[in-house]
Amino acid sequence: MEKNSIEKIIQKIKVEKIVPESKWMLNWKSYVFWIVWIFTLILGAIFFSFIILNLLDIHPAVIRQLGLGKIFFLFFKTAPYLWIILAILTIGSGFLAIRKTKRGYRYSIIFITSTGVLLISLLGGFLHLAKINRHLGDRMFIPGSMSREMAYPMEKRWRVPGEGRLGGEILISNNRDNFKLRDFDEKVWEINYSAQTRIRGIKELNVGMWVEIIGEKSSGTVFRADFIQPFPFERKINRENK
Amino acid sequence: MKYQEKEVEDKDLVIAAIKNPDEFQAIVTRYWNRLFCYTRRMSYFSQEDIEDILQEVFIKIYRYLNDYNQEMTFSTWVYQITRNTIIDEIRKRKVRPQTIWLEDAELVKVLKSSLDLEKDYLAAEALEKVKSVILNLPDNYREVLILRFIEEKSYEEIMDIVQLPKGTIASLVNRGKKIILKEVTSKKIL
Repeated sequence: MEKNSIEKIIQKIKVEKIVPESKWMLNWKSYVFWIVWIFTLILGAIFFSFIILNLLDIHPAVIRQLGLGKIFFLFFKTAPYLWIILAILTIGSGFLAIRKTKRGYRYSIIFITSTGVLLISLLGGFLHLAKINRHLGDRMFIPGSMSREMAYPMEKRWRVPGEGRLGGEILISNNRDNFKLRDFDEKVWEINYSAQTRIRGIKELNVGMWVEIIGEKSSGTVFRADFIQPFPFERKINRENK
Repeated sequence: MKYQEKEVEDKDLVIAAIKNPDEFQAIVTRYWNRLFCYTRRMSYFSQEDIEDILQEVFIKIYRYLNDYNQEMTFSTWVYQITRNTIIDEIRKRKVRPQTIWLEDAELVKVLKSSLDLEKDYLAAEALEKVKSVILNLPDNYREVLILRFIEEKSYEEIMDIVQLPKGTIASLVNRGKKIILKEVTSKKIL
């Protein structure tokens, strides 16, 4: 019986002209999932680079200036939730893609997740250093739009002069005790500063420079600066789009 | 050493079978009995059904020969294909096994792995009860216990056959053993 069955198999192979299929045909699905994984890594890295960008202006000097309690509240209010959620989703999708590959079952959840996080962090760090995130963000998210607000919640931190935080572009500067600043909402402010004002990371307050100011709104459009630091990246606002 | 030599032979047989289907007969002959027993242990199918399944299995093996690489032993790869084919067949029939094809000695083997049992034989009545305990185990537990203690596969081999992470296999084996121990104790089988 066994011999018959074995012969039947060989006969079937011959009669039906069955041939061993090519490796590519047998593995194409697995290759697709590897490509999906690489794609999720790239996407995750982009999202991670936006997280870096949005967190960068919480400099230790700002923490000292505002105090830990205020910073904590500020962080939760303006954390880049969108990018954090998207980055987590890409790590999750990457995990599922790896598991769908032919040998995906061999890797543990911890191994796949930590590898994903590590690669996304490294690549995201690189994208940030290469300033790709800034160019991408400025092209994709038009200033003043809803999407811009979601993409750059950091800007909200510097749009509240009433709470003592103001950001914008220097329009006119005498480099002595005051300068004019145009904020994110196109409003022009007169900024007063003195020898007591802490100026971090800036040698000269030049026209065209983007700065973040901590201080107090004196009246109308006059603001007293206690602390000034540069905006973490040079913003290129396309005003024609506004 | 013998094991390694056999693996080299398997690889040689694969190369030969890719070139000439007649050479595939050697692979079928070598694995027929083992896979027959494995299929019988894993399913409730009749001898004729098992022969049909094995025919499908070997045709698949022949089709996929180019996909075999040395990441795992040929035997493990063959078991993986067989296992997947059995599962497809069980799904097609949509019926859970009503009985289990395990020899008395095999039942004792599974039992000995779960308990500190010194006996090699059990009374017929006890064996029937043990059979019912193993039959009522969830499929995933029963499967890994059969592979571990009857097919005598290592955790790495089981991982490749059932395509689950090694940690999951270890935990299935341990939990399966605990379930058997609990059932045997509560039903006072021994």
